[in-house]
Amino acid sequence: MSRQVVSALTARFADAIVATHDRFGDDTVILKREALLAALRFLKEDPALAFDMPIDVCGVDYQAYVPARPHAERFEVVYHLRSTTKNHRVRLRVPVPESDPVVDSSVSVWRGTAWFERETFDMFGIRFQGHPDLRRILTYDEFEGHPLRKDYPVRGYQPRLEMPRLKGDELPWRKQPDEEA
Amino acid sequence: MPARDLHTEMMTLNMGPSHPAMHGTVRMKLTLDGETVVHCDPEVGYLHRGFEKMCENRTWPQCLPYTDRLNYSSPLINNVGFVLALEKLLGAKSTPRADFIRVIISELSRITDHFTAIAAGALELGGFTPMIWGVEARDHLYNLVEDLTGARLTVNYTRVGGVKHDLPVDFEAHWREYRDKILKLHHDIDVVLTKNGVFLDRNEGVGCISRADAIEHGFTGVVLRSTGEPYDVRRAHPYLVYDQLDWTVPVGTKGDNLDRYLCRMEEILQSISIIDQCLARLPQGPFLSSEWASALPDKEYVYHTIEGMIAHFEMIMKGIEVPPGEAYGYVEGGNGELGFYLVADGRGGPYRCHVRPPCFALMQGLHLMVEGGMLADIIPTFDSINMIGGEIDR
Amino acid sequence: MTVNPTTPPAPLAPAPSDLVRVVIDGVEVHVPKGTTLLKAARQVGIDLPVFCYHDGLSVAANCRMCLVETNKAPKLLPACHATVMPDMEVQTRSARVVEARRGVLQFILLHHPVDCPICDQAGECLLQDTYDAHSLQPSAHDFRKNHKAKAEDLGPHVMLDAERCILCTRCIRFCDEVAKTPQLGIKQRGNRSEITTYPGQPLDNPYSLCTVDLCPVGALTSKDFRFKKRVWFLSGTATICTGCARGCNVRADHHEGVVYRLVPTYNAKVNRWWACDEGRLGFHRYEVDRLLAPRLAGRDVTEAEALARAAELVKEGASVDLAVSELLPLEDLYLALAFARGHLGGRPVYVTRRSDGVGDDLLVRADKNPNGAGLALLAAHFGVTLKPLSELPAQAGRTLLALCPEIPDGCPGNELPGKGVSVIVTSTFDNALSKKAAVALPAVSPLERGGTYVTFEGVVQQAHKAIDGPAGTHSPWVFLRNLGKAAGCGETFPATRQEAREAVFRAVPGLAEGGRP
Repeated sequence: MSRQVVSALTARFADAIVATHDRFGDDTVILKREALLAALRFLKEDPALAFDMPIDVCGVDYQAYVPARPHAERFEVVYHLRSTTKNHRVRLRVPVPESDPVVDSSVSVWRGTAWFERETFDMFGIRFQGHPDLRRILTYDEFEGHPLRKDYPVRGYQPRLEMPRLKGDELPWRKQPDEEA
Repeated sequence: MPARDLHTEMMTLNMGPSHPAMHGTVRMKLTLDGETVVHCDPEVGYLHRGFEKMCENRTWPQCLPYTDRLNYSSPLINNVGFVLALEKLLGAKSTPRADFIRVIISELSRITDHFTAIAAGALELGGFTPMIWGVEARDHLYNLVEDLTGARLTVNYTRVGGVKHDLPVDFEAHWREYRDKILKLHHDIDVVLTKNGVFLDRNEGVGCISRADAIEHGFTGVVLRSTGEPYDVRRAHPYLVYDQLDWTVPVGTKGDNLDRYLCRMEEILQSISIIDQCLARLPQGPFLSSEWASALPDKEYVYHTIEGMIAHFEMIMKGIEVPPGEAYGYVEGGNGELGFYLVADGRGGPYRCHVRPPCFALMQGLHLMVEGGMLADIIPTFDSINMIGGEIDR
Repeated sequence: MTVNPTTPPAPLAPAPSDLVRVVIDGVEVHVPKGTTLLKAARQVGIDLPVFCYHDGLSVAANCRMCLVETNKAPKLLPACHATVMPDMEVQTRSARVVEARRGVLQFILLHHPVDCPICDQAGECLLQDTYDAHSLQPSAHDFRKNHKAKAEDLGPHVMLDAERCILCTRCIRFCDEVAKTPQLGIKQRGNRSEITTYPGQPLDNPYSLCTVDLCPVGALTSKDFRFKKRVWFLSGTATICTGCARGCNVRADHHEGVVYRLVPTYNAKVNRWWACDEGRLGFHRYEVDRLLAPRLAGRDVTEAEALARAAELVKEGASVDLAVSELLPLEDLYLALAFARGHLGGRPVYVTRRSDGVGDDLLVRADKNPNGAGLALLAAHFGVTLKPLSELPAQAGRTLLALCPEIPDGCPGNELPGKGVSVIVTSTFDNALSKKAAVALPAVSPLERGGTYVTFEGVVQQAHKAIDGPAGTHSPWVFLRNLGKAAGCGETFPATRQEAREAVFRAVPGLAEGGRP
C-alpha cells in the first residue's frame, strides 16, 4: 500500500501516534483515543486521503497476549478503512484502558460503523460515546457479560430468564387449580 | 368521512425471526403507517454461534471447518478467504496449480450463492418455477462440489499452502456436462423473469439506495455495484490469478432490486467464463506446498517415515506456529468483501479471529432501502440483499 | 610428513577477574571461568536443543545436538562440554549450526521406528519437539530400518523399546552416578547398539522410574503408566509425595478425577530431579478398599446420623481421647490440636504413625510419615504432650476420636484399640477398624485434599489437591468442624482449607514457606 496515508497521519497527529507499521502490506497506525475522532474526520475529508468507505470496526482483548506489544492497555478498537477513489486502505488501532473502556463513536463520520460499534460493545463492553443507539446486537438484551473478553469462559453459562407470562399462555394440561376452566 | 379526519395510528409489526421470508432467521421490528414502512429496525444475532470465541480456542487448521458454516451458500469462498488471510500472516505461498483451483472453487461457490439469491427472490414473489430452476442449477454445482470435496456444504477444502487434494480426473468432463445445463436454466430464468411484468413491478425502482449512502454504510458486493460503484475486490485488489483472466464486473445504475438481480445474473455468466478459462490454463504441479511447518505432509510420508509422522503429529497437536503479528485478508465473497482480521501470538491457533461479514454492513443500511416503501416491498428488497444468517451472526 | 610442534603454545594471560567475557548471538555476557557455553547461553535466554545433556548428570556430549559455532575453533563445539574462553564469540543460529542440527536429527531419525501412534511418549517427546523446532526436513532414505528388541521387560517397573532408543546414555549415567547401582550398559555396537541390563540383574534399583523421566524418547517407559492415558489429556497438579518424611516434590497427572502417575518436579533443596519408585507408585494405595459411607458399628448410615452419634460420644470432653496421625497435614493437625485443647482438656494427644521402614542415602527415609516434624511443631506450639497410641489406657467407657489412623497395619504398636473403647474414626480405608468402630466417617486421601507438610529437615511445603474424593468423603478437619457444630462446642473453625492454612501460619511464628523453589 502507499505510505502516504501513514505519513499524512504521522505529520498531523504526531503526539498521538503510539506506533506505525506496514507488515504484510497493511498500513497500520496505533493512535491514542483522544485523537481518534479528529483523525477519522481527517482521513475522510482530506482530499488526498478520501477514506469514504468504512470497512470494519472490531475490538481485541489483549489480556492474555504474551509477546511484546506497543502499549499496555487491555483493549484495542481496530478500524479498517478504504477509499473508493484512491483505492488505498488503512488500519487504525486505538488502545482502550480496562478501567475506562470508552471511545468516541465514529457514527458521526460514517453512518456505516453503527452496527460494528454495537458489536464491539456487545462483545467487549467498550462504550462508544455519541453512538445514537448503543445496545447489544448479536447476543440478547438480558445477556450478562461480554463474551469475547478473555476472562469470559469458553463454556459460559447464562442465568435462566423468566419468560413473561402472557394472557393465554396457560397450557390446558397445566391449569392451576384455582383458575377457571 | 374524508381521509384526513380518520384517526390513524402507527402499528408495530414484528416480522420474524421464524418467517419463511426472513432468511437465516432475522427479525424486523417494523413501524407501519397503514402499509407504509415508517421505521424498520432489523434485529440479528439469532444464529450467533460464537465462531470468533471458538476460533480463539482452536488451532488454525481446526478453525477451517468452522469457516464453511459462515456463508453457507458459498462455503468454498469462506475457506479461500480464511487461508488467504492466514497465508498473508505467515508469509506462506501456495502452489500455482492450487491458485487456479482456488479460483475455480470460488467461482463455483459464487454461482451457487447467486442462484440461491435469485431463486429465493423469485419464490417469494410467487414465482415457484424459477425457484425450482435455480435450485436445479445449484444442484448440478453441488454435485460437482461433492465430487471434489466430498460434501455439498461442509467442504473444508482449502489448506495453508494449497488445497486438500487435487481435482478429480473427470472434473472437467463433469463441468462441461453441467455447464450446459446450468446455462440453459439460467436462460430459462432470464426469459421468465427479466421482462416479466409482475417481477418488474415488484423490483424496479424498489429498494433504492444511492451510491453515496451505500459507500458510507460500508456496502460491498452486488448491492454496492448496483448503485454504480464498480468496486469488486477481485478487480481492485487482485488476488490469486484474477488479474490473469479476462472477465468483466457488471455494474448497475439505479441501486434498486432489479439492478441487483441483473448484476447477479450477469455475474453468473462471468463466473462460468472464469471457470472455463481456469480449466483451460490449469498448470500441472503439486496442489499443496511441501512446507511441513504449515502444511500436512503427504500421507505416504506420514505412514512410512518417522519425519512425516512427527511433522503430522506436531501440526495436529500444536497447530501452525504463527509468529506474533496481525493481518487483514479479504476476498470477494458472494455478498461482498469478506474479510478476516487475524491476530497471532506465536501459539498454534489464533489469538483473535474476526470475520468482517459483507452482509453485516448491508443489513445496517437496509432501513434506508425499505423505509418509505410498502410492507410488501420488504420481501424483494431483503431477498436482493441476500443476507446469510451464518455470515452475519457468526 | 607430520610436523610436531616442539614448543608448547604460550600460556593464556590470566583474566583480570574470575569472570570471562563472551558474546553469544551478539549479546555480551560475563560468566565465571569454567562455565559451559550451554549454561552461558541460558543466561541470555537461549535454550539450546539437547538430548544427552541433563543438569543432574555428568556431561557425555554424544548426541551432538547442542553444537554451536565459535570463533575459537574451526569445528562446531558441543556447548554442553565446551567452556568459555575470553572474548569468545558464539553463534547459535548461524547457517552452519542450523544445518548441523538438521544433520544430527537426520541421523537420529534414520532408524527410528514410526511408533508415535503407539508410543507413550507422544506429546511429551523431546525428539518430536526438537525435530519440529529445528528441522522438519523430510526423510532422504528409503532403506529398511534396523529392528531391535521391542517391549522388553528391563525390571519390575521399566519397559524398554530398543528401536526408539537414541543412545544418549542418560539412563546409564543416572544409574551409575545418582542411584549408584550400575545396572545398565550398552551392548553391540554401531547402529546395532542397544541399552541392556546385565544377565540375571534386572533394572530394580529403588529409583528405576527416574530413568523413564530422563529418557528423552519412548525407549524407557513406565510399565505402571503404559497405555493408560495419552499425556495431552492429563492435567498436572503440584503436590508432595506422602510416602516418607523426605517430602519429594511431585506433579500428579490426572484426568477426569483419576490420577494416572506422579512425576518428580525439581526442588533444589529437597529432592532435586528425583523421586523413588515406591513413593511415586504409592498413589495406587488409595484406589482400593475405600470407606465410602458413614457407619455406625458396621452399619451404613447417613452423615447426619453418624455425626449425631459422634457428637453424643464427644459431649463429655473428659472421657474423650484424641489420636492424630503423622500422615495428616498441618491444617488438619492444627484444628485437631485446637479442638483437643479447647474441648478435651490438656491431656496428652495420642499419635498414630506408619512404622519405620528402611531408608537409603539418596532420598528414602526410614520414617515413612510425611508430617512427623509438622506434628511436633504444632504440639510444641499448643503445649500438648504427644504419646504413641499403644500407650492409650485400656479403660472401658472412654471414647477415642482417631483421625486417619490407617491401622491396623500388621506392625507392632499399630493394633486396634482395646475393647470397651468407643472409637470415632475418620478413615480413608474400609478396614478392621472402620468395621468395628462406633462411628466411622469416610475420609479423603492425600491427593484428594492437599495440605501443608513439614519435612524431616524442616522444609514447609504445600501440596495441592489433585482430584475430588468419592462422594461423601471429607477431610478430617471438615468432620471436626461439623462435629464441633453438632456437639455445640462453639469453636469457629475456618470454612476452607486455605483459611485453615492461613490460621496455621498466623498462629505459629517462624513457620514460613520453604519448600518450593
